[in-house]
Amino acid sequence: MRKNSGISLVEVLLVITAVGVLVLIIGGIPNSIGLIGKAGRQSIAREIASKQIEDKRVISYANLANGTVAVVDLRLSSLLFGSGQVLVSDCDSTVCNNGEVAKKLEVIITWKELVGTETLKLNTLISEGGLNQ
Amino acid sequence: MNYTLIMRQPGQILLILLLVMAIGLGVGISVIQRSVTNISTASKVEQSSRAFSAAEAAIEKALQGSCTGGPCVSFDNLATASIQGGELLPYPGEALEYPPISKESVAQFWLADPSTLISTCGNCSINVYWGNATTSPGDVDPALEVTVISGLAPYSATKYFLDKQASIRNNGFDSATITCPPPAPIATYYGSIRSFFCSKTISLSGVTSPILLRARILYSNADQPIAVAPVSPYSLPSQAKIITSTGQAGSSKRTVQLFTEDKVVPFFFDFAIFSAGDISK
Repeated sequence: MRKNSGISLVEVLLVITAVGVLVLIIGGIPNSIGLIGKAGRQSIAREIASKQIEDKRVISYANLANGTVAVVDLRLSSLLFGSGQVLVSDCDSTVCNNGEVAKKLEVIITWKELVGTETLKLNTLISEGGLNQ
Repeated sequence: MNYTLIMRQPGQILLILLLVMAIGLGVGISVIQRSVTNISTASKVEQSSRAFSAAEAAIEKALQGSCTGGPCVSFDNLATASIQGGELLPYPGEALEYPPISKESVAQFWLADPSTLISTCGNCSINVYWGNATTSPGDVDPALEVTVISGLAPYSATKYFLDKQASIRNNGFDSATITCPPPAPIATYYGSIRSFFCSKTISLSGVTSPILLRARILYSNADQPIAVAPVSPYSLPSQAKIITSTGQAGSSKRTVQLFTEDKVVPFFFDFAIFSAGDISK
């Protein structure tokens, strides 16, 4: 009797499954690497915003002028089309509903990602006679 | 030649394929896992920053007196904060504990009403507690310099220098009248069982109008707590507030605690020279 040589159906199915799983996994790697980069840029934006708030807190309340100022930070260059602004305004009644003498500080950092624009916003209050005042 | 042995090895390719798949899976899964971790961490840190800023904002409102407890702040970036505490301390008959201070920083305790300088201490005594219950490795035992300011024009200052290691350091400080460790823990705002390194009972009997007690940590490089407890029936005047603010954004919470005291004299007060007239040299 002659022995037949060839590839069994089971082996074919195993190969197809293995290749399919590999393609799925490897196909997700570029996306994952992109997400790692995005996380890093998000951290940079957060650090920039936190620094802006710290810088404003050391200014005395009387010298804290209302208005919008652009953020100047070397780390913004790490963000694609990165920009930021610091808005100082009198605390509105939605937040300061008891007539507090305070200014609302809003720091907004924006930058572009591969898909869309990302925004990070930090809000706080600085009051007369408050923290660091 | 035995071609059969060399040519016919069924299953070998399958093994190689399994090996390649295992390596590919290992690399791919580790990259994906790292990206998920990074994104999760970055997201949580961003929420944490929003929560911290909201917590600071709530402290600002509490300092203005407009928020005495409960939800305090709600911003349009979905960060909120609430306040606990803020009442005047210490409670009658209770000790007041300063947050841990560093070497050469001063903890100030009012013995009289800060607004009127009227003291309720008539021949009273106070217990002064200082230092962490156990000394950190690499650090040295803390000593304490206490200044009690009393009288009303003229003012007097009485100093106490307290050191458990006075004989070793040969600094002439008092070690005989201090108790290390204190005989019993005390209750303060920071806990019902607070232990310290040493304590001393200071009698203010015969002291006219005690006003202030200023305490300074010496030698130790670690931050050390200091507390003053009145001996019954004396009570320390209300003089401080501890405000705790908890900010929340997403799943992140940040807590900020502020210790604030009215009318605190700067640290260099003890080194200043005061003269009623000109100083000539």
